[in-house]
Amino acid sequence: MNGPAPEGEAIVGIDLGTTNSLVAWFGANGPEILRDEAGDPIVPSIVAFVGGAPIVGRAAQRLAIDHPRATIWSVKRLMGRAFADLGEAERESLPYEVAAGERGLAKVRVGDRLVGPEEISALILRDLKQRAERRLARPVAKAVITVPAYFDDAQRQATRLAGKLAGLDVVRIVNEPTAAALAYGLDRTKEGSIVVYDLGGGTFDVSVLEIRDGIFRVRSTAGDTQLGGDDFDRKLAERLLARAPAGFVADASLKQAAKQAAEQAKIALSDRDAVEWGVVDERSGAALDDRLSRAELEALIEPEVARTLACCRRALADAELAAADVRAVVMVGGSTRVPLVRRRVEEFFRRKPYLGLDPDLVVALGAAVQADIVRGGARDLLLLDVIPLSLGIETYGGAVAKVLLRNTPIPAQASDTFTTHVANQTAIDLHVVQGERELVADCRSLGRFKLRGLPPLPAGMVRVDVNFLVDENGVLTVHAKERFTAIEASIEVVPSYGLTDGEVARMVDESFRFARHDFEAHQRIDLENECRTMIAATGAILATGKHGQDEASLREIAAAQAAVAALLGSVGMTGKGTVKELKAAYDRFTAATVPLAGTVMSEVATEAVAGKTVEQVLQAKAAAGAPAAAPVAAARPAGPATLQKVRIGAHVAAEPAAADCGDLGEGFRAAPAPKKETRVGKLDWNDTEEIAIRLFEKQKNVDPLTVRFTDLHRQVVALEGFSGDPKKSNEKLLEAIQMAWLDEYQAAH
Amino acid sequence: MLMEAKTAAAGSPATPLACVDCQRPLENPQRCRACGAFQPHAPRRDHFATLALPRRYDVDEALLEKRVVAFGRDLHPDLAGAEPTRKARAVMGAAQVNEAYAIVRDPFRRAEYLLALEGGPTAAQDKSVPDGFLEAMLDERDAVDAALAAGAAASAALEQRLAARLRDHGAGLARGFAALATAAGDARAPLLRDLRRKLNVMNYDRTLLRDLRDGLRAKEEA
Repeated sequence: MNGPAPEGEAIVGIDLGTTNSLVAWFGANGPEILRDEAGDPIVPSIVAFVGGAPIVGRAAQRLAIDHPRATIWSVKRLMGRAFADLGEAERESLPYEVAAGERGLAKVRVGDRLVGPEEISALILRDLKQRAERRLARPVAKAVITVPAYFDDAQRQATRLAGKLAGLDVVRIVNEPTAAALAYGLDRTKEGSIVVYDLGGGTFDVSVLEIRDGIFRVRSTAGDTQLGGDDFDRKLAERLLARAPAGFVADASLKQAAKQAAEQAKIALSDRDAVEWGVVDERSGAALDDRLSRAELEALIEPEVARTLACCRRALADAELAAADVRAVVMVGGSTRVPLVRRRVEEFFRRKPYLGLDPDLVVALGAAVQADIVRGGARDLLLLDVIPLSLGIETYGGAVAKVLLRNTPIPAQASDTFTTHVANQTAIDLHVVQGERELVADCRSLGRFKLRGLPPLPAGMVRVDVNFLVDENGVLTVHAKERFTAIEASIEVVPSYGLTDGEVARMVDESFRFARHDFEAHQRIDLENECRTMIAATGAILATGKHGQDEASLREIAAAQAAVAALLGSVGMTGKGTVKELKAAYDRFTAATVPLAGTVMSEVATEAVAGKTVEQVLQAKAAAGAPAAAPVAAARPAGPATLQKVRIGAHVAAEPAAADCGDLGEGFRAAPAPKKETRVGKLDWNDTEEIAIRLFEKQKNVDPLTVRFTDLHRQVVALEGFSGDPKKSNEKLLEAIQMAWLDEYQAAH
Repeated sequence: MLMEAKTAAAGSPATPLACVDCQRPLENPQRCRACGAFQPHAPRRDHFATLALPRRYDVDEALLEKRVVAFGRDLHPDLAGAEPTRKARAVMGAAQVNEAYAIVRDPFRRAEYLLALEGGPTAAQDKSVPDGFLEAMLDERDAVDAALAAGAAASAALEQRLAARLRDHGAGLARGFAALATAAGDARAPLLRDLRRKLNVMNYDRTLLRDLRDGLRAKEEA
């Protein structure tokens, strides 16, 4: 940035780890770690606030034992997280004090002030930046930084902020496992599926990638961000401290010393069968010793290793692969040096894991490769990443309609259509959520926005197209547009704080554990909504007196309806009985009302009634002097503006009453009672000629050559007697109508 | 306006689109291979056209994979540079290709999508299934639970049986769409309804297989 650099702008790749951090760049000979003057590649992710300026790295590490509360490590675990979301056990595992800062974000107490985790990370990044500048002898202003694949938006944003605080423009955030794969991809573009197994100090990630023609496609990722080599150390330290005799005080210093000693013991056991280890309290001279065999270590950490394999199983399932389909397994992260880990991974995939590169360096090397790609380097190598958690919209009753599923490749987009659940709703609230569960309460809220100024239509008539777009950095933009009025709104989702790492893992876990239960809850909400709609529609038809049913079938309808009503809950509460029972009652009700449907009407009437609220139908009937139909009216909430998944068509149809057709907004008036002089008769999309003729009669001043399809669509739907499904138009049909209309038009002119 | 709409509606590789910059025909509708220009986003382009594949049920899987990789490379945002319009077109184009791929590669989703394009009924509009089917499905549901309880061998056997049935459904859909392609006028409606019913049935089997696999994995993890 400050003047021309000898070889152009350098973008460095940074592995900002929970335990260790590294910086690399892409030089003439490919990616290269930038080491310090002593040849040490690693900057421990530790910052000590002792005396004047903060101390970073190895020097800080040495201060940890004497100043445990002023030496901050594993701060990555706090990035972008709310204090309230940290578990007690998690807070206690950190020897320094964590407190709530603004917006409830977790901060570290240093002396009398609160320091944000991104500020502490910034100090580490600044140290790496200075190291790079010394080694490269030029200013470094841009970086690619890696994060666990499971980091959510808030955690990625916090990482970006840390870079900014350190004076770095973060040009890309890359997932660690995929960076590792990039590092390997340089030398050998192995075709086929590979698995990256990344067990670091604090996090575990597994990714299934497919490499083909120089393109890395991430097929799936899974992981657990509260699982890593630190957990092995903690277990060893706990075992040691549990043997302490009475009077041996395990304070923060001693715990810290025990943890460091445990790490050394663990490392030693990678080459040896047994090790003598322990800690000495230098203040009292008391010593605590332990003899540990490799078998004992393995027995202690076996559950953690099993958890990593469960993630592998899930990642394979998501990628629709069997273990045998995997062509290579790449090991990343220092904890993959543990023999038990290597053995279990080898057994699981039935092939020797690949260890060509130093597992501690590989992520930083990959970040440098990515930096080179972003810089526009000549590498013929591309990475197609995926979104780690499903994204969706809250719908009526607190269910989640997932719009983009977990492990969808990015950039990603998907659309879904929603409608209003309450009549004359002029604004709707769009609630964007992230997570695997079926109910909003179990997912994480990412943000809300409102779509205002909607025409006051009957419930179910509004069509809101919601589009999700996730860009190459994983940033989500949600866009909503009402189809007929073209009113729109959008947000870029940047939550105040997002998911906690633990939550991400927990939510994915739970989604599997609770899949059945959630599914039923979701099904129940949908089914109850449908039942109410049907009761209302049936009531409306019966109230017309033109149902043509005999006594027996009326009795059966009433009985079937009562059976359904008995199982329905009140607003906001689910009713009695199992989903199966409700489904059975619903099916009986459906069967009973089939003859009713047969006596009536067109498809559009079906839809109008299906989408209509109970009040509305009842109001219409009341206005027409018909008896109000029963207790269901009370069941309809006059409540908040919520969305309902669009459901078109019900089993029961009814005649659209004139009173139901109200003003649909400017230029969009729903079929009023047919006038005598106009042709009457059902019109559908496929009646292109007839539609064209009527359009020509109705819209003499509109030039079919210049009409917009959205307007054309609106005009057709508004035609008297039009009874097609508004949703069922496609461009082909509209075009055909347009052409036919054009013929009329030209013939007349 | 009219012409644009026509092109979008036709959208088949038989009438190749032309590059907005150099006017040469586009191999990749989202980006010109000849001059490198990213094409304006065409949100209404159908998923088959997006992948430059013929709009039909039978898909050449090798070609599909090739297209996705090649188009993914053409449209990768990392290669679009910093200019906002190019960047935006690359992101939208890549997202469109990814979405199209997800739908076209999956026989069920592909068939649902094609049926909608052909103007057939949606699952919500027509839930019909053959007589006695729901009863049979209740038995199948019990069979899934029983297989999960019985262990790996029973589960694997059921999994194979369900997977084979899904393949049969796929073959049935292929026949259905082939018949539809040659039908015209009034002959189409019953074929569309038949396809709808086939998909309704297939969806049950898909759910069964998914539940079986989820159950298996839950057991393995426990």
